[in-house]
Amino acid sequence: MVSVATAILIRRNFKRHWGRIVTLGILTLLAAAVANVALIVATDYTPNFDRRAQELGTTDLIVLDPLPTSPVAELLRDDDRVAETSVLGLRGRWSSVEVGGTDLSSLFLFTPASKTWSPNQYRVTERAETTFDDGIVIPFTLASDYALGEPITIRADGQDHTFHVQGYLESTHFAGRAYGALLFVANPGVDVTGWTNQVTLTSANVAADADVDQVLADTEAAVRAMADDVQLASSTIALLRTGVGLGPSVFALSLLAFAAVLLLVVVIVLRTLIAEAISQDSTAIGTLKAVGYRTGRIVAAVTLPYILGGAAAALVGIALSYLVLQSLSRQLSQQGVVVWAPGPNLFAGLVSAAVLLAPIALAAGLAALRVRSLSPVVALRGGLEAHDFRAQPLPLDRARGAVPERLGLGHALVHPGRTAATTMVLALVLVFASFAVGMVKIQPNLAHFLVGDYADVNVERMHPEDVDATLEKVRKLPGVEKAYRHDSFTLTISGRQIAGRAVQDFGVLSTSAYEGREPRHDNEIAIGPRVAEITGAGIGDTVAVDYQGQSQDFLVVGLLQGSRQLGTFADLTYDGVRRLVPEHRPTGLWVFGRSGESSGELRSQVDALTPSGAVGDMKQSLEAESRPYSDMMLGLIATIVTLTVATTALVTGVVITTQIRQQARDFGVLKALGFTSRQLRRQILAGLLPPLLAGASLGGVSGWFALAPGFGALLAPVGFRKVELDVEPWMILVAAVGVVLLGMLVAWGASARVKRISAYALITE
Amino acid sequence: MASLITTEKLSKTFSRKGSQHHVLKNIDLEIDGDDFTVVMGPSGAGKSTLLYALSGMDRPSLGRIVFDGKSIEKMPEDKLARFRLDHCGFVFQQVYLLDSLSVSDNVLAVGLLGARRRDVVARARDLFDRVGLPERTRGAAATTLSGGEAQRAGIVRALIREPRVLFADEPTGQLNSEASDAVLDLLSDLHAGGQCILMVTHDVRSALRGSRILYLRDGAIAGDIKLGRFDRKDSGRRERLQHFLDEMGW
Repeated sequence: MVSVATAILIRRNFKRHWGRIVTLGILTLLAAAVANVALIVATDYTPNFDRRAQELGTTDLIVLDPLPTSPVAELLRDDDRVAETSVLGLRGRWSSVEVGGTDLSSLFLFTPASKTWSPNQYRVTERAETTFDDGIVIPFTLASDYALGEPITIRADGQDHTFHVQGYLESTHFAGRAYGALLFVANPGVDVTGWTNQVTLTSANVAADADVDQVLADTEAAVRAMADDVQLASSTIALLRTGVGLGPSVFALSLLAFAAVLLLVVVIVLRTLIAEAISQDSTAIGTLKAVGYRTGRIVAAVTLPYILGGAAAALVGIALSYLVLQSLSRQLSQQGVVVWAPGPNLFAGLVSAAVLLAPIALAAGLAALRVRSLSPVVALRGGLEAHDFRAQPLPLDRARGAVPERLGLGHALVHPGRTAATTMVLALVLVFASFAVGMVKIQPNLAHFLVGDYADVNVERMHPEDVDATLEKVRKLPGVEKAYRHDSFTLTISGRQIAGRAVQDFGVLSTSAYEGREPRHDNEIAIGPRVAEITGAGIGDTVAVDYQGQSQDFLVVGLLQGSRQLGTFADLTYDGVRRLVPEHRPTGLWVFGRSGESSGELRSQVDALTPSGAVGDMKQSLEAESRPYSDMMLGLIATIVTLTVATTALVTGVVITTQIRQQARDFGVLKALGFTSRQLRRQILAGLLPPLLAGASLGGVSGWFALAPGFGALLAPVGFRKVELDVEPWMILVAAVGVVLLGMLVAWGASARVKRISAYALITE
Repeated sequence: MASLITTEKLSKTFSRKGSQHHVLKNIDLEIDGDDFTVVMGPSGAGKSTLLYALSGMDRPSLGRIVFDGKSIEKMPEDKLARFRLDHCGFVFQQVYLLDSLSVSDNVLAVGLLGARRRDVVARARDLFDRVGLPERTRGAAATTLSGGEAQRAGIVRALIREPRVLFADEPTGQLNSEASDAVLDLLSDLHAGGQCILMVTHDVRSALRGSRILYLRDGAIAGDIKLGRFDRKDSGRRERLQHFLDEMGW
C-alpha cells in the first residue's frame, strides 16, 4: 500500500516529469499494441481455424474427380484406415477470375443454394440486401475485389460469364485462393450447366491413428493405376491447417521481434530518464532523506510515476491494438479459408502487459537505486552530477572548429552514459529498419522469392508424342525467350507424398539449393526442407524414391529451400525419372516470355500451338496466390517504417528536451554572455551528432549482417534454411541517412525551446 | 569625454498576476567611458534592473538607450546577443561558470566566438596572469575553485573580448573579505587602465572603489555624486561617501 505522503510525492513527480512520462508512455503504447497483436495472431489464428473446421464438419480429406462418377469413393470405403466416406455431385470447371489486377485460376465449383451440404459445410457470412437473379455467393477471400451486389466475371475457356455477388461464404476446403477449389453457391436463376462439367466430390474421415496423407497418396496412386490421364484435385485438413497458418505465423513472429526491439528501446530510455530525473531532483531527494524518508519510499516516489504511466500506456496500447486487429483480421482471413474475427483476448493482454511491465519495473528499480547511494548532504549540494567532472576531450585552446559545435561535441563526449544509451537506441531502431529494407527488396518479387524460378506459361498433361513438336513451335514465337520440358509428378519418399519435378536442364533456372546443387545425373536427387526433415537425409545420403509402383535409391546432391508445396518437394532429372519408370516421357513445358511480354497473351499464343494438355498462365496464378502475402508484407513495411520514424522522433525529442532542461542554467548564462539562440541550437545539434552517427553506423552494419540470419529465422517455417537477400549496402545506407536526417530535424525542432530561455530571467531568479 | 551610454526616460514595468510593478521610472542618465559607476540603493530600488537594461540583457518597457551611438532598446534578440558579446562583459554575483567546462574553456567559449584562436588564447593567458590565477587552476573543473578564484575567472571571462563596459552585479556578494578585496583591487586596476565599469552593490566598501555613485530609490535616481578615481591614500573618500549615503537615507 502506498502511504498518503508517498502518494503526494508520486503526484508531484508526475507533474514534474510528465513530459518524460508521456514520451515513455508513447513508446510503451506502441510496444504493447504490437505485442498484443502478435500474441493474438500467434495464439488464436490457427485455433480459430480448428474451431471453424469442426463447426463446419470438415473432413480429413477431399478428392475432386472431374468425372460424373469416380472410383475414389469405392477405394476409400474399401480402405480400413477410412472411417467414413461421402459423395456429392457438383458442377465445376477450371476457370479464372480477376483478383488484385491478376488472374486467379482454380477449379471453380458450383452448387445450388437449395442443396444441403454435409459434411464440409459452407457458411454464408454476409448477404446483399437485394436478391439477384444472377446472384452467386462467392468465397469471402475474394471480398476485397468484389463488393456485395457488384458484378463478378468468371472466365472459362476464353468465355466470360458474369454474375452478381449475392454474398460471401467461408468453407475450409473450398474458399482459399491458394488451396484446392473455390465454391460458388448459385441462386435459383443461375444455370451453369452449359459451360461446366459434372464433378464428383468425395469426402472422407480417417481413423484416429491413420496417416491421412498416406491414405490420400495411396488412393490417388490407385486411381492413376486405373487411368493414366485422370486429373484429381485433393486436399487434406492437415495441409490446409499448415498452409493457412504459415503466413500469419511469420507475421506474428515478425511483430514479436519488433515488439522486443521496442521494449529494449523503452528500457534503455527509461533508465536514462530516471537517472536524469534523480540528478535533477537531487536537492529534493536530499531534503527528503535529511528529514527521515527511507530510500524505499523515495525510490517508489521516483519510479512509480513511470511504472504507472507505463502500465496505463500498455493498457491503452492493448486497447488500441483491437482497432488495428479489425482491419488486420480481414487481411489475414483472406490468406486463409475461414473468417477470423478475434474478440478480446485476456490471455494475450495479460502476457503483453506482463512482458512489457516487468522489464520496465526492473529497469526503473535499478535506475532508482542510485538514490540509495546519494547521501543527504551531497544531494542537498546538488547531487553527484555537479562534481562529476571529466576532462574535456576537446579543449577549446587546441581543438579546431566553431565554438558552438565544439562545445556540443565535448558535451556528448563527457556524458558517455547518455551518449551510449542514445547510440544503442538508434542502433536498435536501424536494425529494425533494415528489415524493412530487406522486405522492400523481397516484396516486389515475392512469388519468385518464395517459390523460386517459375515460367510465365506452363503446359501440363500433354500427350508425350506432342511435346517435342510443340516445344519447337513455341520456341519460335517472337515473344518467347526460352522454353523447356518440365514435368511435375507425385513421388513417395518415406511414405509421404512429395511434389516431384523434372526439368530438361536445371541450369536454365536459378537454383533454390542452399547447399549442394540440382541433380545432373540419373541417380541424383535434390530435396526440399520438409523432405530433408522427414528423411533426416543430408548431402551424400541416399533416399528411396517410389514412383508409379517402382522404387529406386537416389543420392542426395542438393538441399533445396522454398515454400513450394510447403517444403515437400524434390527435383530429379528426366533420366532419373526413367530409372524408376523406363517408359516415362515428358508431358509438360515451361515457357518464359521476353521482358515486357504479357503472360496472358503468351498463354493464348502457346495454347493455339498446343494440341493436347492444359495451358496455364503460371505467372498470373502464382502472383495472385502470393498477393495476400505481398499485401501483408507491405503492411509490415509500413508498420516498421512508422515505428522507426516514431521511435527516432520520440527518443531524439526526449533527449533534446531533457538536455535543454538540464542545461537551462548554462544556456541562460551563455545567452547572457552573448551566444545567440541559433548558436545554442547548433551546440545542441552538435552534441546529438556523435550518438546519431554512431547509432546509425552500428545499426546499419548490424542490420546488414543480421538480415540474412534474421530472415532465415523468420522464414524457416515456410521452408527456408538460408536466405540470401542481395540487399545492396546503399539501401541500408539510405535508411541510415534517413534516420540521421530525421533525428537532426527533430532535434532542430525540439531545440527551438532554447529560445524561451531568458538570460535575464535566469540571472535574476 | 562623450557619453558612452545615454538613456532617455528609461522605464521598466513588470506585470505580475494582473498588477503592475514600476521598477524603473523615467530615468535620464549619461555614463562616460572613463567612469567606474556604482549603483546603490535599498532592496527593490531597481539597481539590477537598471544594470541589465543598460547592458541589453533586458528590454525596457519605455524609453531609449543609446550605447556608443547605437539605440539598443528595440534591437532583435540575436542582434542584442551579438551586441553583448562585442561590447559588454559581465561579472555576476554567483559567477555562473559552467560546471561542464574547465576554467580555461569557460573563458575561451566566449572569447573564441568568431575570433582568431591564437590571439584569444594569448589574451586569455595574459588575463589569467593578471588576475593571479595559476596555471594549475586553468585546466581544472570550475567547481574546484574557491569563491575568490572563481570570481577572478569570471572577470577574465568578462574581459576576454575587451568590452567597452564591464557590468558587475554584486561581484563580492558571496565572497569573504580577503577574496572581496582581491576582486575589488582588480576592478580598481582595470578602471585605472581605462576600463569603463558599471557595478551594482549594497556594500559600502565596494562602493568606495567607484568614481561615481548613483543612488536609486523607488526606480528613480535620487542622488549622483562623483568621488573621482580611487586612491587608497584619499582619507576623506569614505566620509564623502558616507555623507552622501546618509543624505540619501541609506
